[in-house]
Amino acid sequence: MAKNEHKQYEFKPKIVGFVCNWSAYSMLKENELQFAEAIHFIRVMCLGRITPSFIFKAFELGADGVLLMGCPTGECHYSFGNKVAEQHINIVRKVIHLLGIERERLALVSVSFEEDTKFVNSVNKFVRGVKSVGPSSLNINLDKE
Amino acid sequence: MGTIAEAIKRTKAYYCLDCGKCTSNCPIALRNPNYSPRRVVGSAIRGYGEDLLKNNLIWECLTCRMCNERCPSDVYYSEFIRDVRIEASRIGQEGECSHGGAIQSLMRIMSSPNLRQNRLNWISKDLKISKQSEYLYFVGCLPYFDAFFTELDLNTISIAKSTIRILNYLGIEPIIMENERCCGHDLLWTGDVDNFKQLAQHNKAEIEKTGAKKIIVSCPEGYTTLKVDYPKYVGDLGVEVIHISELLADSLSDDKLRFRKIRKKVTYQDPCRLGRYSGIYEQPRGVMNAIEGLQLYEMAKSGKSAVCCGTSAWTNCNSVSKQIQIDRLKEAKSTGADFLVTACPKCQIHFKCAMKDENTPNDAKIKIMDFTTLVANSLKYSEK
Repeated sequence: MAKNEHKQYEFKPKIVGFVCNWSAYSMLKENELQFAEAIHFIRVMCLGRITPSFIFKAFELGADGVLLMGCPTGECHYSFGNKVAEQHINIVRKVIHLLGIERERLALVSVSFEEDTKFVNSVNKFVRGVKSVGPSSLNINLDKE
Repeated sequence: MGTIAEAIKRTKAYYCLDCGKCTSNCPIALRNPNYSPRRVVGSAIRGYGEDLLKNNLIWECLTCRMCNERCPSDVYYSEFIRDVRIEASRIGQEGECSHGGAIQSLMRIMSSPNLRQNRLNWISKDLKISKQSEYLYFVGCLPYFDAFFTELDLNTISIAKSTIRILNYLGIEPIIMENERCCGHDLLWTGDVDNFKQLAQHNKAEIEKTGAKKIIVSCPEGYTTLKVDYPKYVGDLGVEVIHISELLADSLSDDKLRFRKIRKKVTYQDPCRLGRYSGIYEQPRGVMNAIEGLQLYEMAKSGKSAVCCGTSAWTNCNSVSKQIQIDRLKEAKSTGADFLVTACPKCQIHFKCAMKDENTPNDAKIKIMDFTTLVANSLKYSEK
């Protein structure tokens, strides 16, 4: 019974987006971009600040997807932040694979300041990916409670 | 589990004589003058227990039981700290989690019932496992450590592989659980008893499903948690919990082990959970002494006096932890050994991390090897 009732609702994924102040965030602010789904944006000064713990915490608290948006290689404001972010996300990818969390739920998108169409497209692509794998298995648990 | 007053009763803290032996032996107190187990217990007994809950000092303790070992009144200080932490976390306090709390998050993610893990990819074809057996091997967090600590060159999964190789050598093909979760040791010792219970209940149900009678554990923390804490919190598992070194020692006395000659000088780090918590000192030493050519040198502080590896339960790793680790590594090196043998994957992680620091002096750099891996590599497989 409970399961059928659950299906009647349209799946609205809970997506956390960490955005770099210098590229993605400025674009969001200036162009008032619209995405396929509402995304909870969290502004950080650099994606290098996002250690694995932030991403795990987001999943732990019930995120269906976590998206990191920052500068492309060579364009980091602090010169090495995006490399660090890449190292961190590689660690997280390995760990969430072990946990059985689908890889569609995590992505790193790099955008230059002026590529707003590319930005919107890659975010929408990510949202479609998350929708295709459905609600996070950790999330179903929270709903039941 | 009740209030501070109950914790005092349960851990016999009211027997404290105020002698200060705990503080004079505490590895933390030696390096951080603000911390003193004697004062922590003293203030709890004098009725200031509630203040303790918000005090950062309760998260400093390594829970290594060194104080317990020396206490003339047998006060269970480590357990006292654990109970205080449980109370503190109920009012929202927590220690400074290392790695930004990533590992705590991982453990809490694992307490979710719907998780389907991919944790068995490391089992290669040469390792024989079975679906039905008297023996079950509880792997623990080993696959996760390798994925998470990429910068430390750990290869902790070799511990799991070695354990299966040893079991196969002894003619045992163990069951491995696909849906095993973290044992919850670190959640329990950082006060998150609710999530610990969830993990414990899940593991208990999984273990019962397999129908195994004996559980082999290669991790000391998993061993004490399964053996001592699970029965306390979720009821008796109905199985015998055996550490791999106990099994090896028994097989050695039954003359079932044949070793090849290995020329190595080693020294041994007693993990707190295996040594002071479980009293397993002689079994690993006996096995290592039986390996021909292997010379075991003891550190000045070994056995019951062995110093902890500096951090526990992924909490409060700080400059004091680093000092403890460097001092311990220097002690290991000064024995003249080429390898420091650890029996706990976490000791290995902590020591390797300490050695990664560029300020680490050369006399604190020593190669680290795991006990189980050492034994598995020394066995003579051809004669079997």
